[in-house]
Amino acid sequence: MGVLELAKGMGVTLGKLFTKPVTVSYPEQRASIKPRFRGRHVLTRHPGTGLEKCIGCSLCAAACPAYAIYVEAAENDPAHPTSPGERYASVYEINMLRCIFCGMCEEACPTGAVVMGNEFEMADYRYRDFVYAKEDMLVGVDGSIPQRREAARKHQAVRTGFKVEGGPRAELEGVKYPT
Amino acid sequence: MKVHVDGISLDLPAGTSAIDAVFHAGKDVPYFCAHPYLSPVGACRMCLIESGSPRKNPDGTFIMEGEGDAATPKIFWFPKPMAACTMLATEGMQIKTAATSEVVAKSQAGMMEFTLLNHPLDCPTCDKGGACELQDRAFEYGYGASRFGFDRRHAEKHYPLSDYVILDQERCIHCKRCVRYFEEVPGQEVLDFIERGSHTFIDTAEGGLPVGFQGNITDICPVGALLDNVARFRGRNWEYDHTPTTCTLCPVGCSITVDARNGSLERIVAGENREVNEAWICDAGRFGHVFASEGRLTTPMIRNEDGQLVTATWDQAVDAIRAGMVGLDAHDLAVFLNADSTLEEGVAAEAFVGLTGLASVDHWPRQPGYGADAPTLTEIAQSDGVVVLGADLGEEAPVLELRILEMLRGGLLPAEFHHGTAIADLRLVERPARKREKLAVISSKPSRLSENAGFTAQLDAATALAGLTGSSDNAAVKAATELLNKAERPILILGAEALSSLSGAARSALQSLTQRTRTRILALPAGANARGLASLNLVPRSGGLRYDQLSQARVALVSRLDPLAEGQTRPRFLISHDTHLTATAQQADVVLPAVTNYEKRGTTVNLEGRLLPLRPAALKNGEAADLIRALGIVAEALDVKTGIRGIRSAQTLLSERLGVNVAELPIHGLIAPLGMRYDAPAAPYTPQLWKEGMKRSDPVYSAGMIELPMAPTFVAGDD
Repeated sequence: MGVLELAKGMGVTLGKLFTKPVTVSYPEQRASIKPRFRGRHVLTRHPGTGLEKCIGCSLCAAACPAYAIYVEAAENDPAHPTSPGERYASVYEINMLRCIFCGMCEEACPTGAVVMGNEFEMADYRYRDFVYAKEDMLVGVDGSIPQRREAARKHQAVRTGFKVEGGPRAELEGVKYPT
Repeated sequence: MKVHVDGISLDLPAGTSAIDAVFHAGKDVPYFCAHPYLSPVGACRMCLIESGSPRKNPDGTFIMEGEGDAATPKIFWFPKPMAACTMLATEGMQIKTAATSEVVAKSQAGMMEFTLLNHPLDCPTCDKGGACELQDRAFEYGYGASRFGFDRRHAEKHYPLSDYVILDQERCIHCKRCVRYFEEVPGQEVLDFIERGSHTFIDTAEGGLPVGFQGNITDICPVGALLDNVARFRGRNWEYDHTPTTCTLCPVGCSITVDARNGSLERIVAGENREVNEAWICDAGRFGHVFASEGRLTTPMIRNEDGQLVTATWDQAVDAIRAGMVGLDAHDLAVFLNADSTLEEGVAAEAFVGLTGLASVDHWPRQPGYGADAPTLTEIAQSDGVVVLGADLGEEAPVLELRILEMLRGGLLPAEFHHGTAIADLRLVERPARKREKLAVISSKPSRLSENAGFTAQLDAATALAGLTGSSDNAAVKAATELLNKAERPILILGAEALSSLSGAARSALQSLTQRTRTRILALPAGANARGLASLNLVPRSGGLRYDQLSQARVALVSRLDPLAEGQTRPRFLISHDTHLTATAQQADVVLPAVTNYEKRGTTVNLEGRLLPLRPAALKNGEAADLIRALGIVAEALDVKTGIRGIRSAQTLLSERLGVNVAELPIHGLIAPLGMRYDAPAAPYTPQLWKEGMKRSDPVYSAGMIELPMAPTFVAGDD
């Protein structure tokens, strides 16, 4: 090994010092995510009527290989329906610790109600904070449980640390992620 | 009779239908309208098969095909596929199913396409989804896609036929099972098709369906058109834990399947037991299960210094009983148990009584019995003369009523094959003739059964009994006597009213009647397991107290009975073992949580004397314990050592006693001799099928009467 090789190596190092870095300084800077990245689930609503798409059929729970989903159904009040039709989900819970983000629930959903979103920042301390209920996943709710808790504590808006290249998928009806 | 299905040769009894021949061969055809206990009508046209039979020459020889020794009878095929459920299999018949015939496969898929024309795509919201015959058969035999793009028929979607049954007219595929069920089984013409063609829909007469046996139509509906309204949207079919067990609301002992989800009892469906309930159960048995999951006691409770009932541990309960018994003796204790307790609990109570030497033990409801040789339910259905005396079967033993109505239709029990009960027994016909003259119903008030009886009278049981065994002016009683005299297999059914007025003279008169006419007598037990418990010594010993003398007891253990209204005199020290905080439990000094019969393992004895198993469903009941353990707790407090500590030791003892391994009873039960019967005088008793708390609409739930004081809950630290 000669001095020449050493100099060559040092040259590469020196050269890289002046190029643009590929890393991002997350979380101050947003990480860029592909639209098909499978993150926290979103429960979508029908555009226009605003009714929940979920009808409480439990097929997502049946398809779930990790037994992460729990659904209880109830009958809609005809005067103030929650979803179109007779049935809606009165309880809809996903245990994010059990969830393996495989997307089978989305495949199984007959109404396109449960869709894999792009959020992934769900790290938290207590087991029960990983069980996401309907109100944590309905479209329009920004951020995960810890992010919303933090935002409430600081009286600020939720800030997520990612952006989606080209915007969210069409299936994520009504979901707004930073682009 | 030789029949060939897809090349498989079968030897079948004459009278077998082609659909049963196919299933007996282990082959399959789809069907929606056939049902083992209903007449085959060929309404759905799904069970299409190709079939052909040999024909005979005028001289009686078969028309042959082929030459010389190779000649075989020529098969004359039907020109088109035939419905297997309404076709009789004949000697030498050849049958081809979809497995071997493309014509059949195509015509079945075509029929499925027609059936699905107007069937809504509701499967995700339909309670039948996952257990739906149409769903399964469409997957197995359908094309997979429809070629008809036009709008589906729209009709009434959630239309309650009664409080318990909800109808979705869009989903109906017009199989007519429900209509035939009401006409043929309970004999009520309350449901029918209205309009014709694709406009046909099902509806009832005004006033909805009659309570009694209406729930069975939710079991037999092959689609989600008729659904159980009590279990509406409670869970999907694959989410339920199914537990086949025995119903203990009345002494018939029907087979049921208890469906629980997350520890809550959501639904009960009928099980099949050919000998007992066939495939039918009553509405109370099906819908009256709400109490099992609402307001349950989950921990023992004791009185604190302020006299308030508070939740406690079992050790504290033992201490409280020990403290309460200071100055009292074990002989002062009275033990009263519900007559639907299992035989295992019965032997535990008997052993406990023997050990402590106490005299006051009783089970309730209890009635004096009569005879040991009770006819079986099948024998009743196949009898040719039944007299029902002093019984309101609708309250005492509803499904017995259906078996008596079966007797009027000729008592045809469908044959049994490899695949179970015959799917289409061609002897069963639509709108069957009923021989009402084979039934006499005599009681002090009219009952549902008396509408079907040839002879009825409103007479008190004692008078009627005297008339039946002696002579009477009453035409109906005379006719009943005649019926018993003339019938070859006469049966006399004695209900609560008759049994409570059964004097010594009446007993000997009945005995001579039996000898004279070979009448077999069925004395209806008062409680679900009253017949079984009567074979254990669980009646007051000399000087002991009866159940109705509870207030005279100094100490009492009352298990799953609610005898004390508020303000009534109560024993000095009262231990209540109950599933709910009833009026009696609220007055008790110590309350021990009990399990319902849906959560018990054990054995019960029905009115025929058939041993039937109880199996535990997975219901949330906290620390609730059966009577065996509750008695163990009381024994511990009394410092006596019982030999029976749990279900296993009770079952060992019981198995030795009966000579039957009760731990491994078949789900359909078996009849075994129970040994001698212990009888003692009992207070009169009015049977009641629906008890408080069995409906969700009962005031106990809305008034919050059984609201429990909150047990201290575990609070997680903020970590």
